[in-house]
Amino acid sequence: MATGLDAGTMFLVGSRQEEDNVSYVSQRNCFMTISEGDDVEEMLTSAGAKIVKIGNKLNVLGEDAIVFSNMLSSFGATDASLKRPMRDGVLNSQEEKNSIAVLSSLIEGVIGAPRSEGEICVFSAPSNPINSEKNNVFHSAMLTQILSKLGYTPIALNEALSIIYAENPSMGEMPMSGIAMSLGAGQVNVCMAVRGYPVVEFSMVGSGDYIDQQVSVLSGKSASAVTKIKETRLDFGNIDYGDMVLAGLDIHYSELLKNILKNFAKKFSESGNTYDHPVEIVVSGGTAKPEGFEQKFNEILAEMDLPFEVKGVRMAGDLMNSVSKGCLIKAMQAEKKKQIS
Amino acid sequence: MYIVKNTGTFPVMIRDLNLHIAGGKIVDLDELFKADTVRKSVDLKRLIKQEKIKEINKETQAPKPTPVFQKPSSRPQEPQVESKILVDLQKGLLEIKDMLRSGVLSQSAEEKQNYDEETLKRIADLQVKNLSDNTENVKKNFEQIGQSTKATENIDQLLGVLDSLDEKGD
Repeated sequence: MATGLDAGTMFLVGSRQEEDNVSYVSQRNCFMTISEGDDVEEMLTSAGAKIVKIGNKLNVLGEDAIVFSNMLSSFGATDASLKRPMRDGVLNSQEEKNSIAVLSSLIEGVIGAPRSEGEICVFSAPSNPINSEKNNVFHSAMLTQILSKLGYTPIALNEALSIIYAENPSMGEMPMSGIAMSLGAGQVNVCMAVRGYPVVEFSMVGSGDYIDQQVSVLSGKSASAVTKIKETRLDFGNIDYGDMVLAGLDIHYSELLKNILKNFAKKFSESGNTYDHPVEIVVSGGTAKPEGFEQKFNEILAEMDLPFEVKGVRMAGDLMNSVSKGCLIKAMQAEKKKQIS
Repeated sequence: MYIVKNTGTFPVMIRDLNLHIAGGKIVDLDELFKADTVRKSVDLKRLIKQEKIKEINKETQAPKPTPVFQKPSSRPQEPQVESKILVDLQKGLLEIKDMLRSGVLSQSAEEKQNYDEETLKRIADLQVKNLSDNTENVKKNFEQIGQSTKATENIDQLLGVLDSLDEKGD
């Protein structure tokens, strides 16, 4: 057996192969803290909430946290804010004390216990960002330790490289060759691979969450309201520019895509590599979900002067699960090698 | 040194010191607070009286006992259980002091950026160890969490492609 884990800022997605199917388990990577009080724990448990109790604090996890946070806020509770164990793709330093325990419980809840001794778990890890001082070593080391404590043999895999394994882009006759972009809530991860080996990789902070915050400032609406509009009403093929939120989202998405392509072109030129065949680009991640995203990407791409020819842009088969799927493939390969040796 | 132990299995809180002590844990209060503050803590006295916390080696003002010369035994003595406990206790205290001195557990992720890779891995190890040492402090009411979906995927085919690339690479 082997398992894959996409440890994302917004979602945790675990995957396993079960006969002819792949089973995915996904959960929002968030929590809400409530002080212990008379009957509070009993009330939450009977409502079906998933709780981790740390000391005398009750932490409601995942989707339940969103439900209870909204409910308590509507009753006027001041300390009902939603917290994230991760931020910008790595452990959230502002919530670090609880983050480790909460993240550990969420991961265990999503992938369960190992099904064999030392089962391999490949987890997604971001590259170090080019536009921030953040260093992802501590984050990867932390996930390695959490998974080891659960009894797994953990292996880190570059988040964008996992999309190459899941989607198999090609350059000429070469499989597993092309550019993969993972647009998450925290970071954008980019990797160019040739025959499954990474040749250019980097990440950038300032993805989905950042766009929501910027549009929130621009429009005067809360960031969560902007997120909701983005998820339900944004269609790049039909933007109402009289709507500050939609117009703001359109402008910030354009800037984000231009920045990704500009930085990739720079990194590609620095690598000194040249290829005879046009390159296929595969895009994945929750931030790429709005309607018309592919069209938007192609429009921006047409404006850019890139040092290589692009074969085409393809959206991943399943934007939310492809990173976890790539991790699972790598885990199965590692498990196979372990059996042989 | 004013060392106390939480004798129960559940955490206790010394409210006027704003300090949680996990079940079974030993803490040197003088390491964390001023001696005056500790001695004035009403809640600490209450918890000691209720026998939820036990003083282990509170410094006393009592005169030191006069040393009495004892002739050493001619054969080596078996180590006493009490002295073994004391050695363990000292080891535990040294570990706690080390943690407090280096302050690594209270630093933010941003502050940790300045460390080299090996140190960061060591800190991560220490933090997870700290978490698992305090498992009695963490309780959850579920085994599984999340939305489960199944999909037919071309996993075996992709695995085959990856394997063939590896063979060619070899």
